[in-house]
Amino acid sequence: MMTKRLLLAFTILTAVFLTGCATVQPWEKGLLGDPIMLIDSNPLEKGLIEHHLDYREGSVGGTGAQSGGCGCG
Amino acid sequence: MAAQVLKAEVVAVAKFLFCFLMMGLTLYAQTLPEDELQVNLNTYFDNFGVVIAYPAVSVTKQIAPNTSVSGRYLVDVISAASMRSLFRVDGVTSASKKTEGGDAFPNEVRHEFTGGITQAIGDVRASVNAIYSTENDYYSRTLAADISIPFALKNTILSLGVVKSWDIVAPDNRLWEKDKSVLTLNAGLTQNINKSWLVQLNLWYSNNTGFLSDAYQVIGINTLGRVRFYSPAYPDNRDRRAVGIRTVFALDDISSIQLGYRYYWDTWDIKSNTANILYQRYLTENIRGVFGWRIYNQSKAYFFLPEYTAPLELMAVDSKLNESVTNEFEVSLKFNSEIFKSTPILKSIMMETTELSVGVNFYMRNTVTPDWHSRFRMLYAYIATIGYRYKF
Repeated sequence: MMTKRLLLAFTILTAVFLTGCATVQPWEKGLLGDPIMLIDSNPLEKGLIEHHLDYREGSVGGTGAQSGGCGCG
Repeated sequence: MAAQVLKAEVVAVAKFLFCFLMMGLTLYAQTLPEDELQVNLNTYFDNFGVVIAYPAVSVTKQIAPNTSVSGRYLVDVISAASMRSLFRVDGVTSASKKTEGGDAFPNEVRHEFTGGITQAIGDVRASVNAIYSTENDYYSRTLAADISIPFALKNTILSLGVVKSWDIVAPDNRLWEKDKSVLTLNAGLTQNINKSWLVQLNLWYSNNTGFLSDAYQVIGINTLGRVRFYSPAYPDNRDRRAVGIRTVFALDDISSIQLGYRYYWDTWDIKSNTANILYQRYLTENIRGVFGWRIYNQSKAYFFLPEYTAPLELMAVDSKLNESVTNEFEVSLKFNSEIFKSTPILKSIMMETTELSVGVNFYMRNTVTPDWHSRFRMLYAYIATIGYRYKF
């Protein structure tokens, strides 16, 4: 039930995103390109910092960062 | 038989990746990752006696107008004071003891090699990466592909990814080798809401099959005054799902707030909630400060028990499968090259377009029952990072 609700919410949000947003023109994107506005300004560094979470917590994923191997530490 | 199945899977994934790239080539598309060299050194220390250093070097280089290649080498160097315990192989890290086949010193070393290629065709970007990870008791081969497709003047970006890995678990204290296979799919949608606000949605699914247990942990069961030791036994299949939303908005021209939430659930009955907040601000023209807080809670796996009075078909004592709450705090500073212009030594390596970052994370995990090995309920850990990023 919870899963269905989440998927429904995601679908609605997606539809809203794709259809209802004001267009930002290329010349208005100066701030959006600044490092402080990037969700993952350095994905490699973020993946390395989050590496330890894979072995301390029972859940992963959904955050965009990945790392491989066992690295059982 | 296993080798044939593995070969068939490799062929199937290779075909998929080929079609995937061909699909990208037929579209029109976008910008390549910037040419850069990155050197990172991360270290981890905790109150369970675990010390890990994991340096990494990566290079990205454009080799043609629409093609870029990348490579990365990472080492995990693990040393654990808890290896002086009665167990033959360390139970906290699952790293092998040096007397049991692990490397001489430190206690365990993992090498990871990554190679990748990114192709831009018009506004679409497609990339394929191969990762090989090796250590004395665990081998992993991974193929990953992702594609990002922008729409609406690049105000909407759809990202799709697939990752397949084939692992071999070969514990030092066992005579057998077992396979583990992971298939991960992810989809993301990033939307610019206005010129100072963007939102990202993420969907993630992963199927894990094969040997998912831990060969080094042990479960002691007291039967009529005698303690007998058993290996944990996990299900050989796990479906994992997560949905997440993240948003960033500018407070002014020099600072921003990032908020995120993720819900995770899997077939082992683990459900978790993660929320995080990240504040970034230019402290001066050449120094950027990053301050973050992450809070996380999870329920326990249905087969986890803190103590066993009799052996069961499925058993687990690993704290990461226990009910827990964690908090993590992050502080880091990013310096650009200007600030080092008059600094001896550093001025020679800090070329224009270079960024140096230093940071520390403090991590606290509180489980509802003590850890099976350390007998602590609280895990405290520090993660220190130093990064050098040169864009050439």
